[in-house]
Formats: sequence, structure tokens, C-alpha cells
Amino acid sequence: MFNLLGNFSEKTGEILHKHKVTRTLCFALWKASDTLFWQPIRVAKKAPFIRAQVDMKDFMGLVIGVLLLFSVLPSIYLFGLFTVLPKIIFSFICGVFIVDVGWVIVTGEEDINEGAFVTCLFIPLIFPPFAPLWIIGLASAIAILIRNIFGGVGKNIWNPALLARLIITLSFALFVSSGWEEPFWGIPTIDSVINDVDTVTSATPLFVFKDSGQITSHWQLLTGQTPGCLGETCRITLILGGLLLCWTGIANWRIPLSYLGSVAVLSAALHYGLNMERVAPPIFQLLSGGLLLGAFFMATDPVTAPYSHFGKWVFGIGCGSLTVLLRTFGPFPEAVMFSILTMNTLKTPLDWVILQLHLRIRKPRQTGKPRDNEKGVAQ
Amino acid sequence: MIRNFVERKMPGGYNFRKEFRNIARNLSISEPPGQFNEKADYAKTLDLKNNTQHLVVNAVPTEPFAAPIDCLLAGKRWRYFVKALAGLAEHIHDIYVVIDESEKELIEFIAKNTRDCRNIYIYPVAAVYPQDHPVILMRTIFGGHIKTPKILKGNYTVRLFTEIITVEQLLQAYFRAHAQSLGTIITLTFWNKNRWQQNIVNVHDEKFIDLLLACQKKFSNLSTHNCRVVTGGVLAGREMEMADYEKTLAQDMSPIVIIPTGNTRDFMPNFQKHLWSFLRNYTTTNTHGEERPCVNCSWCDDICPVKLRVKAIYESLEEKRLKEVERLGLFDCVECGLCAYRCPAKIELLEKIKEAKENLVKGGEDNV
Repeated sequence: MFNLLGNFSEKTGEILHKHKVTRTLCFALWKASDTLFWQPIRVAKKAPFIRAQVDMKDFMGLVIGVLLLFSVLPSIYLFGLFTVLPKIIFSFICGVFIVDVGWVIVTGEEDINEGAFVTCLFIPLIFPPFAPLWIIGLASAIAILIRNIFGGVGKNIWNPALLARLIITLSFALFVSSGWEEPFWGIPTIDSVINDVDTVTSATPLFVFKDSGQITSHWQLLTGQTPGCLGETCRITLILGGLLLCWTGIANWRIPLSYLGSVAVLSAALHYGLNMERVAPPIFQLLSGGLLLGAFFMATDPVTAPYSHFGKWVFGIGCGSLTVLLRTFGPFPEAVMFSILTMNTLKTPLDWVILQLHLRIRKPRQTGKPRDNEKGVAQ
Repeated sequence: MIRNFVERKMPGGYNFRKEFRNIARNLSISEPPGQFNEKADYAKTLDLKNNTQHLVVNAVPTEPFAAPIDCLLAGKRWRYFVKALAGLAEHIHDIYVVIDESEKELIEFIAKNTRDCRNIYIYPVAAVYPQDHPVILMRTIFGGHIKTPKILKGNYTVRLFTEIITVEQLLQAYFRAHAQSLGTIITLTFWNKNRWQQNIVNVHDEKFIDLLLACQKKFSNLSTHNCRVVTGGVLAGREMEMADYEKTLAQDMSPIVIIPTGNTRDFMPNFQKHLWSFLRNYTTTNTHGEERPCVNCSWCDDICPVKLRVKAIYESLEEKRLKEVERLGLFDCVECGLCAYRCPAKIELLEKIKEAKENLVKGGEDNV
């Protein structure tokens, strides 16, 4: 049956590709769905004749899967299905089906890249539960548009989801910096999972600390009993999801380790070493705000992080240091977004410096280019 | 305690044994006939340069479907291998035997039987490919310094003083010197009833078409329909053309692999592979994904055995900065194909690198 469906899909693709109008309007969408379910027929024409199984769909699909399981599912329990699901659907409609498909139609490309799906899933998770739908739609549209303007997947300097969040925060601050909802906690019922919980607004733990110096219980922070953005509250599942991404190699472990490590070390040094009361203690720093979501899922975005190992360490330490300093001395209680975007800006010069150092240290081959009748690999 | 045992881990590369661990072997190597004249000096039959002082014997499989060492040295061949080493030790300054660390019995056997030869050193390594390349072997033995080993003085290239030979070459020279014929050891691997079937055969002047017909008689499932025949290895080899079928089998044609083309439009193959991998093996010539833009994952950098910045080279090639590419170490690339194997964006890295090398060499000749 699957073979029959596959043949039907292949024939459909041939027909869509033949006519200019259908090729422009529908071919990219058909190709995205066809290659999701069926193996593409492209074979290796030259060496190497075997290829690893993991492709971009697996790569991005794993991130989406982990986010759904370890961030979306807990947020449905904490905030209700009708709070979470409409935002995700609307984000996909605006980001993928309107902006990305529209871009593909206008530019005549044939591929919808999988990165758009990851970005559109991130957008609702980094906004408060009370954020209106049009804000979510606008943010995902901005994110995809900016990414495409920069050149598409692999070319953007900044994390598109975070950049969109920044633009919305600065432009529509009122809609995204107030109205934090107390999450549900207890034995779930059908009503509590499906419907919005009774809306009790409260301040986030970081805001409370900045205002009065009060530390929220670590257990409450871990289990998501505190207000926060949709996807950042249940931190215990975020840690598990992040570790899974690191174990599979999708997220490079150096970044979360250096990010979280530098937050812990710097905050410990300032809080305990220099007795600065306005700096939150290390465990509270690690468990509050969007730090875990940012460290495991956003800072590890391979496109916007340095690609050298040493660069990743520097990137993580930079993010961590900026997070602690901006949280303490900055005007906003949360600083993960600003620190990641700042380090994204420094990513290209950092890569360049490390590459130049590498070239100075690495000894070139003595034989150099092939000579005479030697071709290909120099001996 | 084994005296001449040196621990060395080679970073980079990919351990294909984990992926192809369900290979079944069909040994068909015949035992060497007759008695040997132990005093025959076979060292001269090896095609070594006059000033060779250091010899590296590679006993690690070089490609995913290459013949494992215990098959090459089946039967009495272990003893002949050790005797061959001992014979060479009288003529060569130092001999380095690079061997898969999992072959513990063989390592012990060699170490015990060569303990009187103080100039034979055994290097157990993790069997990551491509272990046979001179640059990789030099790094394995002499550490991170690829070009000039520490023990050599002066501005000499490694090639003048060191030769690399494989176990097959060593055995063939030894047998030739004793007026015996080892033949050519060829590996032919194909997909047979949900697993890879690897056949190791000893041929004497046969052609590939003869070997194929002989194997087809034995294994009715062996077919080249919807398959591609690759010779010289699946990573760095080439596709066999019709003219090659009539050629006499030579050592450099091994391993020969008949790979399914993989264009059957399988439904969610990766999903199936992960959940029910015992049912299907998806090693095909299919790229297993569409080509996508590079996402900076740095998996190519991680797997490169000579530690090149593959991503930087690729970027420079895309932007046509050929001088920059040369500076990044393009000619250090050993063309193992591991970066292209691993890339999730399915970028044809190896092809681009080879093309760039040709363009640079051609550009240099044009300027002379």
C-alpha cells in the first residue's frame, strides 16, 4: 500500500513540476511532504558511495520531537491545551504557510527548508501564556522573513526566534512583559488539561528577586510551579530534553556546559565571594527564567554558534557572563535573549580569529601541491 | 607484559564495524601448499626504496567492507606473517605494525614471537577509517606531527625514509620469495537475505566476471540488478565499468561491494531503521536525504582524520576563494570521503574538494 501511495505521490510531483503555475504555487509544498514520508531517489554518483542515515529532516525533526515532548507537553499540563495549541498552530500558519511558502513562490525556489518548522515551534514557547495570538503570528512572520532576507537556512547571523522576540519586546512591550499566569499544579483533570486554568496573574521569580530579593523555592522552579514563558517553566523536562539532544550530537555539549558553568561560577563568585546581595545565588540563577531553554535549545543552534570547539567554549562563557551581569545590572529581569543575541553577533569575528590562530599553528605539508604526473592527493 | 606494545589512539574517523557488524563471512581461502625454505631472503622482493629505514605494516581494515585481519591470516598464515616480519627486521631500521586493538590474540601472538626483534613495534589502534593512508599512519605512529617524525633529523619528507605496506603485500612477497603463489585476496560483499554477505576469495589470474559467476552459482540471491558494483572501497573507490568485468583481478580492486541502489521509494526508511533495524539495513547508494544548505553542524570537522577545517574550506570554495582554500590546507586532504559520508545536509564535499584540487593544479601549470 505504501508503495502504491509512493508511486501516486511521485506521479503527482511530475505533474506539478510540468506546468509553470503549479510548479510555482505547489511544487515546494509537495516536495516537502513527499520527502518527509518517502526516501528521495537521489543516489551518490561518485565516492563516497554510502552515506550516513541522518539527514536534515532527522536533524531538525529530532529538535522538534524533543521540544514537543519535553517542553510543549509539560506546558499543556501547566497552562492548558487551549492556551498552547492555538499559539503553535497560528505560529506555523503565519511563519511557514504564509511567509515561507510565499517567499518560495516569489523567489521560485523548490525547497522549503526544515529550519522554518523549528523556528515556528520555538516562537510560542518563548512568549508569555497571555501573549495575544496576533503577537505570536507577527513574531513568527518576522523571524522567517528575517532569516530568508539574510539568505535562508545557514546564513543568518542571529537566532531568528530570539531576534523576533527582541523586536516584539521593544515594539510591543506592554503585551509581552506583563500578565504572567500562575500555572496549574496538581492532579490533572480533563478540564485542567484542555481548558485555560483560572487566570491568576503573578510576577516571575526573577522579577520578584529583582524587586524584593526573595528567592523562589528550587523545587517549584524545577517542576514548573512558577510563572514564566510557555516553554521555559518545567525545567526538569528541559534538562532531560537538553541532555538527549547533547547525547545524540545534535546540540554540541560544550555550549550548555560552558554557558551554565559560567553562570554558576560567576554568580557564586559575586554572591558568595564578593557578598553582592543583588546577584542571585547560583542555583536560583540556573533554575530561573529561560536559562535552561536558552542554554540547551537556543544557544546550541549550530547556524548561529561558532563551529570550532574552542569557539563554542568562548561563546558559552560569554553568554553565561552576560546573562549574570545583565540580570543583575540591566533594566530587565531576564537577560538570556540579550546575551545570546550579543554573542551571535560576535560569532563571525570569533570564528575568524580562531581560524587564523589554527592556520598559524598547523604545519603545512612539506610536499605542497602535487607535482609532475601526480594528481589528486599529494604524497 | 608485552615489551614492544605502544598505545596510540587515532582521533577522527568513523568506526564502521558498529554499523556493519552483521556481516557474515564465507572463507574460501585455500591453505598455502608445500614447505618453506626459511632462509630465503624475501626482503629484496618487496618494492622498497634503497634508503627505506622505517617500514609501516598496516594490519587494520581500510574500508567498511575490507577483509578483516583474522581472515587474511587464517590458518597458518599467522606464523608466516610473523616470520615475514622477523625477516624484514634484519634489513629495516624500525618496523611499526598498526593493528586493530580488538585483535588481542593476534597482538599477543605477534608481540611474543617478535620479542627478540627489538626494532618491531606494535601499535593497537581503534579501527577507524581510513587507517591505511600514509598521512594517517604517520600521525598514528609519530603523534600529531604529520610531516617530520621526531626521530628523523633534517629537512626530509617522510616518504623518502618510510614505506607503507599492507599485510597482503607482505604475505605475497614472502610467498613469492619461497617460490609459492599466494594469489590475490579479494573481498566480494553483497546484500543477501536481509544481511551483508562477505566472501573472501583467493584468486589466481581470474577475471571479475569469473568471480561473479562463481559466486552466483553458490549464492542464488547474488544479483547486480538495481545494484551498483563498487571497487576499491565504498568510501574512496569507484564504480566498476563494463570494461572492468573482463580485467584480471588485482589487489587494488578489493574490496568489491555490490550495493543496492536504494531508489525503491521506501516509506519512512529512517523511522523503520531506528525502530526495526533488524529487519532492514539501509546501506545503499542513496544519499538518504535531499541536499540542503550547510547548517554549521561541524560534524565534518569532527570526523576529518587530518583535522582540516572542512566547513571553512567548503565556504571558501563556494565563494571561489581558491588561494584561501590552499592556505586552509586543501592539499592536506587525504580524500577519505568521511566528511561527505557524515554530512547531514548531503553536500558533495569530496567532489568539490577534488575539483578544487584539480583546478588549483591546473591553474599552477597554466602559470608556469
